[in-house]
Amino acid sequence: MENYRIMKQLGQGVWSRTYMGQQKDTDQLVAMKKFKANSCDEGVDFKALREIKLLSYLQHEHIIRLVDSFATPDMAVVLVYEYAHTSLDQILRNRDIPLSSPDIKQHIRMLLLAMDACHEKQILHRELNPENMFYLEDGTMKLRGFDLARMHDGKPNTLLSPQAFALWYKPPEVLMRSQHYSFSADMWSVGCIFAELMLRRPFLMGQFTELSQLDKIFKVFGTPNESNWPDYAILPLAWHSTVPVPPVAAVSLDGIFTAAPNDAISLLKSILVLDPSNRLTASQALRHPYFSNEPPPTPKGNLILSSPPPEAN
Amino acid sequence: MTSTSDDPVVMSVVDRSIVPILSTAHETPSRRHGISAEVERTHRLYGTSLLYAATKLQKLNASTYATACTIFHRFYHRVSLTKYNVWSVAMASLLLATKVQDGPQQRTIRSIVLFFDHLYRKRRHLIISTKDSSSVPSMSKLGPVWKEYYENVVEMENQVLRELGFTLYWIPDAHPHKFLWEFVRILLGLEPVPIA
Repeated sequence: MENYRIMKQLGQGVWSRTYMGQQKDTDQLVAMKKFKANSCDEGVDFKALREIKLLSYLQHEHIIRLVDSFATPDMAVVLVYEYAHTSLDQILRNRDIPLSSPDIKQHIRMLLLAMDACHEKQILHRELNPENMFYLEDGTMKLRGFDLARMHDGKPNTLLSPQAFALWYKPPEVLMRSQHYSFSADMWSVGCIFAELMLRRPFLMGQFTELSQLDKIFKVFGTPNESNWPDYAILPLAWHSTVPVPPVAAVSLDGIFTAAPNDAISLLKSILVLDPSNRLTASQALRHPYFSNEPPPTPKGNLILSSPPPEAN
Repeated sequence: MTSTSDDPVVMSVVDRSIVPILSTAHETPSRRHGISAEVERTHRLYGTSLLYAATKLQKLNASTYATACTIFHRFYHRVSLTKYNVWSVAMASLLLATKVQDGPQQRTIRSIVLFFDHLYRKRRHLIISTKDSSSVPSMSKLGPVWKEYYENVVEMENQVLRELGFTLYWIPDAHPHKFLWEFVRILLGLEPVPIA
């Protein structure tokens, strides 16, 4: 703690607070996440330990770098990350920042590269959303938010909690309470972020409850049936439910994304698929013609990350 | 792998496997405090045997045991046996191992304390040894015994983290033990066991 100067509080989560700080020796800006001490009398927070473990294992251009970690005398764990200037959430909300289609291509490409790195090392992120995509000053996207991430060896008998994921980015199989989801669940969130980049608003906005989120999904992609999702009937929610859901047909995505180019829609259609086994993986998605077609993605140095300063008259 | 301190074969196997990994194996802090190699080895094996018994009692899986042992041995490559006793370090190692392992390996501090207390009395022959975990007695949360145990574990956990500099990530999730076991079986000409 004595090596850092705390400058201001950035945010507060359920288990932790984030501060902006500065390394005293190097004047380097850092983000510091302090886990609340002794939240449940169980000593050091295991979530902090797991995050340290995963981030040290995952060293990649597009994943946030852990600079340091230490415990304070009152037994709170502090993780020190490199400082990121803005997040995709802030970019999307700021209407002064234009998002051209080459920009979108670069944003989604960096996300897929990060995802590919995670999945290659058998790590499920489980909390992908624009708030967890941070940008350095040079435009490099850095993925963070590994609080809920975990190693997953792909064995089908590993149970996973259906409580992970933010609601709007939650894949349908997790909403149906599956405990056997896999890397394709992260890909659904990637698809939602891709759609959000094109629409500039969250694509599937359920209202507070998981059922309304499912409803939103089915209204766009149609209700699951034997042809579009052969295994859906064994999912806990489908198995237990007694209320018949009136079948709804899928809506064509072309009608929703009127401004998007055809290759983008084709990629989106192969990522946002109800049946998890038919979704593209991150490495497959990166080989999609969308990324080799014209126009090429904007060089990351040219991405606009904050609104231009008001021009002096 | 189930290290018992009176078995010379196991002892030499364990020792040889540690030496090449850590360059300072002959210069452990305990050695500098005048503890002979023999005594240090016995203490360390006693510690891991405690970990083994505790993981068995708590029905934790083998890789949690292996992780706990790794943390335990690393700690004593940094800190002398004269400073911290193997009981406290074993408890903290097991607690940290359950925290870094993924999956349903979580144990509360309370259950770890209760099981180690049970083991303590068992090792001191204060109770008749039993393998049944349901016979582990409870303990009042208000009494001095609980308080001492609890403060000791939390303090020790912090100490281990500090000494290891949070390098728990270096320990892989998948340990090679199962593979080695298969390998040995094949060398002995036995049928391979189907992996569950």
